[in-house]
Amino acid sequence: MSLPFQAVVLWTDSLIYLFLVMAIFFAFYVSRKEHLLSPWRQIRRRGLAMSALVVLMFYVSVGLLDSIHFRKQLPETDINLERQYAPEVLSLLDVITGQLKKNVERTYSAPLATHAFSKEMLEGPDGVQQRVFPRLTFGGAHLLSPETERSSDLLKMLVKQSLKGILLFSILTFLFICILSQKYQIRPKEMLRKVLHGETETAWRSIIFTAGLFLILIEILAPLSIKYHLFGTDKVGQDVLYLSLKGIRTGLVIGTLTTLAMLPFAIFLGISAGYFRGKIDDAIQYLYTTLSSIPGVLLIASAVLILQVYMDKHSESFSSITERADIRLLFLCLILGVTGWIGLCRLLRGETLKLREAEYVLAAKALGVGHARIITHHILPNVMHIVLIAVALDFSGLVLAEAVLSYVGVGVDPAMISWGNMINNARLEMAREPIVWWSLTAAFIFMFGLVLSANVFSDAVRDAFDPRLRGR
Amino acid sequence: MNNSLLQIRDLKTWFSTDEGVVRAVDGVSFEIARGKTFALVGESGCGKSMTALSIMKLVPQPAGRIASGQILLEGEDLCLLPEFEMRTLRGKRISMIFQEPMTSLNPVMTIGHQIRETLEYHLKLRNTAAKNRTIELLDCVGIPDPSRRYDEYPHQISGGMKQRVMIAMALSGEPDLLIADEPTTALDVTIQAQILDLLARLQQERGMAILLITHDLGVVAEVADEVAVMYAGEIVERSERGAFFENPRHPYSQKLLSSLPGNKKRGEALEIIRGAVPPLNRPFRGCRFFNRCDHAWDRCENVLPAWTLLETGGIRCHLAETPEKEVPSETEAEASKTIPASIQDENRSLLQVDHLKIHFPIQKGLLKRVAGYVKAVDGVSLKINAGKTLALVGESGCGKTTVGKAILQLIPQTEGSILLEGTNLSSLSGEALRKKRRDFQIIFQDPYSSLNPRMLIGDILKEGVTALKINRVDKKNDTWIDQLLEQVGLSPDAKNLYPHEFSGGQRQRICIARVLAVQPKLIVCDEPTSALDVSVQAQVLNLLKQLQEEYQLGYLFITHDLSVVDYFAHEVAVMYLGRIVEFGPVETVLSDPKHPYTRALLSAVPQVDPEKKRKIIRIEGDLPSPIHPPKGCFFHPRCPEAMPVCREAYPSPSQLSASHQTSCFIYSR
Repeated sequence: MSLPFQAVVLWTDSLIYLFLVMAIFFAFYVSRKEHLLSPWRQIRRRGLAMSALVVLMFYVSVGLLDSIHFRKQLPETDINLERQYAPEVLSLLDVITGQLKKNVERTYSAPLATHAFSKEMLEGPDGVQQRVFPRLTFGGAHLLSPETERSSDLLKMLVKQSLKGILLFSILTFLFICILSQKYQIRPKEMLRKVLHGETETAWRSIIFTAGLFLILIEILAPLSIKYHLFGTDKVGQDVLYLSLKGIRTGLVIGTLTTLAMLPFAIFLGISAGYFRGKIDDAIQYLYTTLSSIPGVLLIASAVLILQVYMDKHSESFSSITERADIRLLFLCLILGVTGWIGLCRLLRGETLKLREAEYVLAAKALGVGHARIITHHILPNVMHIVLIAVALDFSGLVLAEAVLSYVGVGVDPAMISWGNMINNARLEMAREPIVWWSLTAAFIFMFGLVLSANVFSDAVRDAFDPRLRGR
Repeated sequence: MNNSLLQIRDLKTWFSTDEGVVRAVDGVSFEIARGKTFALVGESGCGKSMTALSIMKLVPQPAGRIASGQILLEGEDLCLLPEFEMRTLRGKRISMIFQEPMTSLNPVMTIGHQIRETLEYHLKLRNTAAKNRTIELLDCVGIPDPSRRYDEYPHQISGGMKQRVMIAMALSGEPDLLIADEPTTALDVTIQAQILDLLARLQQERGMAILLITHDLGVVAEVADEVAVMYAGEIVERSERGAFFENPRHPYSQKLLSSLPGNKKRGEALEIIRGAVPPLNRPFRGCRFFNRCDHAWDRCENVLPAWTLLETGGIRCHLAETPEKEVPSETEAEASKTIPASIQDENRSLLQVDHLKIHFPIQKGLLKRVAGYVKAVDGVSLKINAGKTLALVGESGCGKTTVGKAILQLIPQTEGSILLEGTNLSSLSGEALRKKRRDFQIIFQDPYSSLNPRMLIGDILKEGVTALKINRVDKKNDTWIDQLLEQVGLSPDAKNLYPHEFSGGQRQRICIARVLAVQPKLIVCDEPTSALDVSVQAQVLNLLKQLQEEYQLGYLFITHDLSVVDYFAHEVAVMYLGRIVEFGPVETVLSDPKHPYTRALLSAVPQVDPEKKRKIIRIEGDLPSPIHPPKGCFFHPRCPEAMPVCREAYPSPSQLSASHQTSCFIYSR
């Protein structure tokens, strides 16, 4: 028996899975150690952080759904032939948002529009040619006379879906409160009071309300985005909401994998330089001073171009456009990582210089503790907050850097959907009158949500893990 | 009444924090007479500095605020003044000097410029007038060659000089009141004596009042006219100086005085104050000192003691309110039991240091050419017997910590030998050195930076045992950790906590436990109590003493506090600029010092005991730089008894008795 599809594991996919496995393993490890768990408990109590976490979870789940790739089986033409699979690589997200991907217009259309953005010569039923705004193929196609019906249709849908959403939210909240009250062995009414007053150990109030907000929003927007183009369409008529959702994975990959590529360099070299001093320090400093005097964009550009040339010459080894784009994305992460470790490395070197003279390090040396153990037990944990802060700042910075690099043309593959490419394409239309604002706005909203929630959450993590701030 | 310059009435300075309102200053009242010195004493965290900042209206905003009370400066309530009027008042009528001279001066401005700024603002002096006045001020605070110093930057002058500059700056507005917040805590005793002298002289000349904030009762005994003891945000006793030191009335003051180490208390344990200062974030029902007081009875728990006026001051204690009441007899404090003197008196040599030299190269230029050496330690010889304590005394920068670190093999030595039970430590390396490391350990000065904040106490204690592969009874079994913690007076639960959950004294106990875990024979104690309050210092010293009796530990006790030496050590070595100038049994050296430096050092220590009238031997100037030590005897530029020969050569040690030796030409004849 064979499946009607063929699983495709892209390079970045496998790294994301690896990252996920590491995160789960870490969570498991932490949950067994009481003293490691307590800072996380503190985060759990902070409402804002938990709201940010819910938003992040939304992004992460979309990103993960978009990281499960496969190729569909083509309809069998001949039983004797080997099974054929479609050349196009799809992701689970494509399947879920199937309608969005297919609703392609001819060109630009404004959000929730029923007519195209620009006039075209059309032949009327009476054979007279005139310049009009043509109807969209999908946007508001169910309306007979959009001019009169559109507002009422939108309002109807809004009210209906909001009510539906609130109802669903209430039911789910009720069930959830019941489960919670079971767990804490108190009456549901008492539990509800506690949650509403924010007296629970975990900030359930914030979690429930943020998740509820998302639920109601999705409930409202999902049918809207199918019947209309919620964020309009871009130049080639693709739905902007679909593009924004696909952009999430690219953003997350750039943010996480680059950090993964950067951390080993920064931590290993930074701490070695600061701890061992002398020749090792000189060598490492020389290395990063040299590297940082090369203009970063130039280095990235040349690296990406070399890769481009390589891929063009060996086009046979890439079975699909998606794979090509994926390799380029991975390579971009690596090269960003290689150029991006210098700042953190400097910080870590400085901090280690300070720590190696700390009395507890001297005491450990006096106790005969070896270098490796001093570094892993005394220095690394005490610079971890710097790493955490740097990672959080870099994450947002990298998501933004992707946009800049795409502008220069050395970012992700033009075929890959990313917020950077969206912005880059929208940039050309900023001068148009009336302005095409929705691509930019959509990319901005999605990017802003991700960066803001990541910053808020990492701030809470830092506060919880910095012992100097704890217990205040 | 009209003689009083500053009157504080029921001052309350509160802080809003996450844990509620912290009443840092909670109903403090006192007054300072014109031209007098009023000392505010107390342990850290009792609200003394906050009282001073409240007077200046510099309470950290927005968390802190002056909740109520009056601060009357010649009848004018400062609390009602707007900020812009306060600004003209600060520096002009009230000025303040801070504890840390190193950070109180702006490093990118010249000294002259910084003083001039206040002159220009308050006295509207300009150009030459301002410059001349600045130089006058510098001269007045005893800075040699003031016109040259005028253009120097703070990093070019020493700590004592910086404090003088701070004082000059504080004096520039010719204030009526000078608030000195621990003005000498960061300085060495000889410099401290200079600064206290200076303050006394300036006070006489100008008739200004001084509010002296300090934790050092010795300094108070030297300079104060009136003393107020603060505890947990309020004043518990106020008295004239003489009366206070002769007959402290409040149990807390009594305890404070009796916890001071000194030679009278040799051989017995120091008085300790059990427990800790109560948290200030909730109102008190009874006496704040209740849970730590030996005299407490049920009334203390439930009734707030009122302020009782006495002939020489006042006191906040139920003992004074109800003298006729039958007070429960003083419970025998556990600490007052004497620790038996060491029975074993064998002279088993533990550590022998011979002509130890540690020179740090100074590298210059691109190619890191060695341009010279900092001779941090320049030929030091020491000997410690098992079960004995050798105190290494000297001013900061004389190289005593370097000696300690070199013995621990934490810095490479340039020359000389360090023999621990006959093994030359510097000849060991790698695994052999690591094996030997369990025999010698170190306790550091700062209990806050000597414990890794990210490690559990249990892991910290286990670290040495794991690294040195010592077989503690059972690897899996942690009972030895519990025992160790109990031994240093901590609960076994401590092993699952992080260091930040402990107070300074408790942390120092943990440091001691960490060292004990590997069962060493020699412990280098690098100023182990100088960061602690006196009552806590007493606890740590008692513990160290008790452990010495128990395990026959040898201590190299590095300190600058001579009263601790007097109480604790068996032998003492006085160090000056990398060399030992005097060495001998503690009784001999401290009662009959021979070397002029030792004498000056001893005379500079402020004495609490009013009977001990001392004559201060003033030594001028600061410690010279170890890069260019003076030719001849290193001490001769500061020595009051310098002879021509002192400029020529360094004196060789002269044996005064079997155990007492000194390096000075006076005795080499």
